[in-house]
Amino acid sequence: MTRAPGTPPAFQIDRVWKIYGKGADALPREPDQLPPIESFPQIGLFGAVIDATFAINRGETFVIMGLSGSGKSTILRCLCGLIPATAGSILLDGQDIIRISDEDLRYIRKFKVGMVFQNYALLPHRNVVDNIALPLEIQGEAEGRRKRRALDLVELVGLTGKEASLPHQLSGGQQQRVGIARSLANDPEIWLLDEPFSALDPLIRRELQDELLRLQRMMKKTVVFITHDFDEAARLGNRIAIMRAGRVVQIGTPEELILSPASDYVGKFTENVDRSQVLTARAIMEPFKQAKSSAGEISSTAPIASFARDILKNRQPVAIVDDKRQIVGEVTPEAMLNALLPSPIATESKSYVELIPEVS
Amino acid sequence: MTYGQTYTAYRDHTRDVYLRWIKGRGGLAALLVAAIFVAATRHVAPLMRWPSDLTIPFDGWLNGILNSIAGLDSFGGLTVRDATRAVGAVIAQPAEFLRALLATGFTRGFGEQQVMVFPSISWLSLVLIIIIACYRKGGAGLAAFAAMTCLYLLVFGLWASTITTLAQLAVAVPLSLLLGFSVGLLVFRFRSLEGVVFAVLNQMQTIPLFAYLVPIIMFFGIGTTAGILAVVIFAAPPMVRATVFGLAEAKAQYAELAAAVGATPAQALWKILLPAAQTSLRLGLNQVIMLAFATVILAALVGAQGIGYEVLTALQRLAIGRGLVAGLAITLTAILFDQFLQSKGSPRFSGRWIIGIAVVVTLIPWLLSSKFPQLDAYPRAWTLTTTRGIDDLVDFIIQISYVPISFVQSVLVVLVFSPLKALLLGLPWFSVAAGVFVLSWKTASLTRAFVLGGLVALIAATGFWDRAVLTFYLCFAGSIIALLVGFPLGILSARKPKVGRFILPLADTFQTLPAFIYLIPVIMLFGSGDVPCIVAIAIFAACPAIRYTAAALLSLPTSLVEVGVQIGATPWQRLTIIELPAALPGILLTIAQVALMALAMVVVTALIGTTDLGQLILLSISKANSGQALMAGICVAIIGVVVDGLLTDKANQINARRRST
Ligand SMILES: Nc1ncnc2c1ncn2[C@@H]1O[C@H](COP(=O)(O)OP(=O)(O)OP(=O)(O)O)[C@@H](O)[C@H]1O
Ligand SMILES: [Mg+2]
Repeated sequence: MTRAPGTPPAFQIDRVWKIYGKGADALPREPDQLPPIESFPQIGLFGAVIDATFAINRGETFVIMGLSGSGKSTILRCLCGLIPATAGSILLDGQDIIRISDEDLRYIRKFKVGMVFQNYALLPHRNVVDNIALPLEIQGEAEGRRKRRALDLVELVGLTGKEASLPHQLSGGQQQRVGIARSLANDPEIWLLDEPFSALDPLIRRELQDELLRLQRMMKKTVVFITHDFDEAARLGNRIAIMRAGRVVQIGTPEELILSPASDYVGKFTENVDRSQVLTARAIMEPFKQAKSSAGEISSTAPIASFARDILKNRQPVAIVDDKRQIVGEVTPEAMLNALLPSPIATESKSYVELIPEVS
Repeated sequence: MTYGQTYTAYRDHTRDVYLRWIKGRGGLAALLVAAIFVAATRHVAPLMRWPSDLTIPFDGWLNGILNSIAGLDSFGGLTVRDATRAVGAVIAQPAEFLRALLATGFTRGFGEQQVMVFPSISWLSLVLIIIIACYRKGGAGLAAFAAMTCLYLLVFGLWASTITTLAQLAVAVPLSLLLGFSVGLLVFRFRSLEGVVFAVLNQMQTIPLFAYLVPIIMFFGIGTTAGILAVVIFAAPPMVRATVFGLAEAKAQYAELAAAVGATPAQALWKILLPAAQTSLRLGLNQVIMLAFATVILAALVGAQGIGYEVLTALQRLAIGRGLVAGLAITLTAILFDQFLQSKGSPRFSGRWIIGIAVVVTLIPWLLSSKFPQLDAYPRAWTLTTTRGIDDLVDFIIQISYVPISFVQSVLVVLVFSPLKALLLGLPWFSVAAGVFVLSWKTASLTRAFVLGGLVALIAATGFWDRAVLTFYLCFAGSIIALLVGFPLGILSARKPKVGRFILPLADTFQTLPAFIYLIPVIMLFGSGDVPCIVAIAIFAACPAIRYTAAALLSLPTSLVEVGVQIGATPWQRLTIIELPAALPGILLTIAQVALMALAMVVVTALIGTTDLGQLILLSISKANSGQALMAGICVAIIGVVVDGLLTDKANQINARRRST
């Protein structure tokens, strides 16, 4: 993701650690002063997040993936201070989440951050509208205004007619819509979602993904999203971070992760992806050399699936154009096949992939 | 906007406002209706109090039934009563034997002619064995505590009575286990029995122990046997539950396995299901022991010797110093017991070692006792017979606390307790029954409403209405105070794990103490009257209030708690807007539990003077009026069933409304 120069990132995460275990609360806040990680098992410590450094840009959808227990939820909760990080710093608008006062943290949560929980976490005793209005109630908003806002959100997430239902009268998908609406009630700049769709069946899941894309097109929030599903990550995310045993092992666009995984571990995540749907022309194009314009032109954001047939039929390189119809490169049939059928022709790591050395 | 639209909008708006007003004041309106209803029924004498010439003589009928059973010819001119008394004598034997072996020695003859036939095991051996056992199960800390407890018992001359109590327990506990386990097996085997048996067990446990004492005396005579049997009746039910629960759970898991390996039903039961149900069974065992310990103290009321007897006599003589000393002895023993049962028990040395050590430790003092008679019986000279210092301390405390406490006491009595009592006594029985009926109908069903309302009417019909109201009044006042104390502490424990780690085990420990104990400090500080009773009830019921409140909050899904934090709610907002409403069913169950504990304690406070149902039971014990004792006990149980029923129905109703799909 390119970012316009001058705009600071939404989150600047710098050498963040979250350590559990005996006496973990008393550990120093400075990453350099922590005991060496090799000694953790002996002294009864456990690193749930280990030395994580990355930035999340304003307006991007940043996805975190990783095996169960790799620290995804932990790092997400550290971002809004639900879990206090042990060491490092997390800058949000120049404020360090780890060190600010409770009062400031509460302010941030009230007005800047919204969160969707995996198991919905709706209050069983409140109906849809009152659940959605909860954050506004906490803010001290007047009853009339919060009701109006909640009703708007009900409409936004497509629950019209269910305003007075209690959570248990809703299906799982509907409950998660309420969770989504609640997290948007305070119109947050930052939107955190921890496996919001994992408990849902594939159809509803797809539907909610579309919903999320639609909302995001309208709202342009900074989104941090956790999922186990690479297809979901690729559909929704601008960039994906892969975590392993507490460490962030690679960050890149879906295409970068597919084409140049930093390790077999990362490769495993992208193994079963439908490459023809995820990879776009831009990701596999080469500098423009020879393509005849007669062979047509392809938009740089088009997925391979949309033009593979044509290329194979003509057996000729095709020109790639950007949204201003300027030629930016070409795709050859060989390059396309290599991308679709990976290995034995391994692609080299590209320099722009942020690689973090992997220690297991 | 056209006029028509404006009008519709206006009309809808007014209707909304109006409806909200009604809804907000629904409670007020209901209260008003209820007040008018009460005021009206007060003027109809038979609805105010059940007419005395129409009183249904349940107690007389019960007496008749029990007497005819007792007098039944069982065989060869022997009546049932003779038979039960013979059985009773047998039951007491092992307890008497143990007591002789461990504490008093075997004697023959009485009074002057009493001669020692065989000495008891040396007290020193016993102390050492206890310490070693504690060390093995709970480590050095527990061993030290055991040593301290033994020393305390010896020095204050309470050793023999404590051993006597333990000897009774040694019979009562196995008996309870056996009975509970057998019934549990039967219920497991014939599942259709489950509903009936569990219902009966629930009722049995809400009838105060005291109420069983009289019929037990009738059949088994006064003394140790009656005490032991009372304990068994009270302590066996948890074992039934644990057995059925454990086996059912094991069956759900291993029934297929048992079938797959081709086990016969008996093999499946003994080789697969019972071992798998071990955890549950052991839990049952622990509960039985603690319950037995709590009730064996009360066996003193039917003439069983032991440590409870010491407290009872002290209470009756108002010898507070002595009462405190004996009460503390029970407390220490109870805690030791509890800790011993709870400790994980990583074996520090093997069983063979233990036997060896036990033999050595037993034999050596015994062999030496001819040379050192001090080893035989703990020398009287080494005991503190006077409690002078303690009495002085007690006097001092009474002196300095007299003015502030009597001030608080008078204020409470004048402003709170007396008006409350007058209010409750002024309610017509019919209004109460009708109120219960309506509430129950709203929360459960019409049938349930008839049952609960009918039960209230039944109390009126027995003619014990006023006493029942007083029992309820004590229970109510005590519960309120317990909740006022317990809610904040429970919330605090749930919120601040550091505080919780300190408060919760303390509350648990207090709960294992026999109810009796709470009376001693309370009469010391408050003298007589309603206040000491209410305070004792409140202290006793505060422990479950803390425990259950904390549990209700802690059992909320963590994500609900996180939501509160995440949207930036203050701790107070989280509590009042999110967590307490979400935990409402749990809170209602807490209140129900507190009310039941309070009710159990109300009856015990009869020992320090009340005029309620508990006192009626005590009176019936002294007059050997079984029917009256049972009927009064049943009335107490009815109060418990109704209060508990209304609260749990409400909790279930809320849960049903929220049940997640
Ligand atoms: N309170 C805690 N105390 C100790 N260890 C914890 C605690 N919370 C989490 N952990 C550990 O931290 C690690 C990371 O947990 P986390 O919940 O972040 O995993 P995750 O990547 O979200 O997994 P999942 O995909 O299963 O949700 C796990 O190994 C977990 O056992
Ligand atoms: Mg997680």
